[in-house]
Amino acid sequence: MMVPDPMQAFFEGIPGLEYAARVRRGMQILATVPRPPVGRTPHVVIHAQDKLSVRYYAPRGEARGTPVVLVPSLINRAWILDLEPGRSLVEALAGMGHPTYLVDWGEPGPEDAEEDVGYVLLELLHRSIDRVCRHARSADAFLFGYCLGGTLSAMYAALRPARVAGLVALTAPVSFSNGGRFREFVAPGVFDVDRAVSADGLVPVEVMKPAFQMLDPMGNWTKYLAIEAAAANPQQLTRVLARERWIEENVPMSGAFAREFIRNAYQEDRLLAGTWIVRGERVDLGAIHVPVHVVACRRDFITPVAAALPLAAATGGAATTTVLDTGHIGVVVGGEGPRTFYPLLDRWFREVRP
Amino acid sequence: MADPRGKTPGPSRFGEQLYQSWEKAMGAWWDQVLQSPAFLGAMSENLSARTQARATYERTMEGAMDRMHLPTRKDIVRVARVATLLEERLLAQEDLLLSLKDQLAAAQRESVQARIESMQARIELQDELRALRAELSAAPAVLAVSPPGAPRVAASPPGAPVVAVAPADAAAPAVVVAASVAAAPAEPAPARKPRARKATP
Repeated sequence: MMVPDPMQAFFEGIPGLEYAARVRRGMQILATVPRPPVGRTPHVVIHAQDKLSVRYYAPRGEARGTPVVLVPSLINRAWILDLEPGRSLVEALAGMGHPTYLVDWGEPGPEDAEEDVGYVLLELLHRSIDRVCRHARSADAFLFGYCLGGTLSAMYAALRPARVAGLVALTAPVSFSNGGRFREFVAPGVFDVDRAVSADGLVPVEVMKPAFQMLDPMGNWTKYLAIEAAAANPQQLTRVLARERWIEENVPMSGAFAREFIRNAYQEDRLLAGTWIVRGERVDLGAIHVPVHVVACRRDFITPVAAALPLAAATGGAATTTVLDTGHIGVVVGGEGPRTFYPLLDRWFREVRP
Repeated sequence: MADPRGKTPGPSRFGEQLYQSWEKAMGAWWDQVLQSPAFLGAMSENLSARTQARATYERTMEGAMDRMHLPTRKDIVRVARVATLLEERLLAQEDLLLSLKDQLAAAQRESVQARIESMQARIELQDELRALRAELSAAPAVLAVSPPGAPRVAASPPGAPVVAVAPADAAAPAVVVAASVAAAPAEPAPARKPRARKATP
């Protein structure tokens, strides 16, 4: 039973302050209601290395030949792509007949502090894609990268194109000079990445989280209104709290990766310029000759449209773009996900490999 | 405040307008603040202070654990790194085995392909042989009536008359057959099925 709030009557009596009262109620709900379970779609783990694991979601109905590998961001949990039944990208793709594989990067510990971009791309991701192709008995696989995972997928497709059948980059920044507010936070002269790496060699969640919260300062206020509004409907409240888990449960980043990525990407914008060297190899996006689809979101605070779309022009093959009228998270787990984005993905895969 | 519809707004409508204008003003204020170098500089300093505080805490913890002769975080990290290195070496071996398996499978595929091709060639030869036999059996008169020591029959091109060759014994009379082998009704050769060609990967 909830404790009666003595301030409630005061807030509710004054016009305009009723919103403050609602925000207070939203805060109370967020602090007390348990979080719903996530990542519930049945799967099996087909490969594991270090903290990484690759999950397989068997297709339902008539199975298609080419597997789809989903690559989330390194600073999010993998279950963001399997948030809840009905709002799960893996569930939807498997339901449409695609053999679906999800890369779970895991949570790095101090022992992983020296893992750089080269290790992530050429050791972890490369081996994962190899094992997926073997498991699916396919010569190649579609790559789907989300946010930072999309940037990494594009870099991988440029460095090791042999097993990539096509690439979908969802809200993946590549033009970092157009990186919006986040770029301002980590611009050279403002942010020294070495100072963000803690003694254990990781960039802790406590450092990253405030930066992401600052991208939409008013969103931190309005979310309580959304929670309060959803409280009357248990299903709606579960949905809102599942999304809240996404925002709450970040993953630390290895110091070596953060140093290399923030300097080369956000501070020197080397990816589009083609001057990023990974373990002695130049990352040339023009070397991507497979079909590419770039998806950006108009209401995205993390990856503005101008930061994502240039990937289409930078690749050496046929590329298409789509701009959706939604936000960074809403595109996958909001109403736009099942309504627009999941069918869009399915159509694109079927067009590339009929 | 006058309502655009000419009605006096109720307290809840007034409250809503008040809230919306506050939210808008706050949004604009945040935009200004977040672009201010002073704010960004302060944020960076704050970040640095946090990291230093955490480092100090970790050093203190490390020292305390060490004095109690308990394994410190550093020790655990060292062991975990060794485990990661071992895992990498194992996976490298697995990569090698898988690559050998691929090569073996490719070699087996090639060998099977070669055997299939050689069998197909033999089948073709057998077909041709059968056709030849059929052609030969169409001229039984010549072959059947020839007594031992009779002239040997040479193969003639289709349409040409079959000509007897003079026997070794010059005294024996030579037989000339005017009939054409090709003209004789021959038993048709069995129809060959078109071969399905297997696509090579």
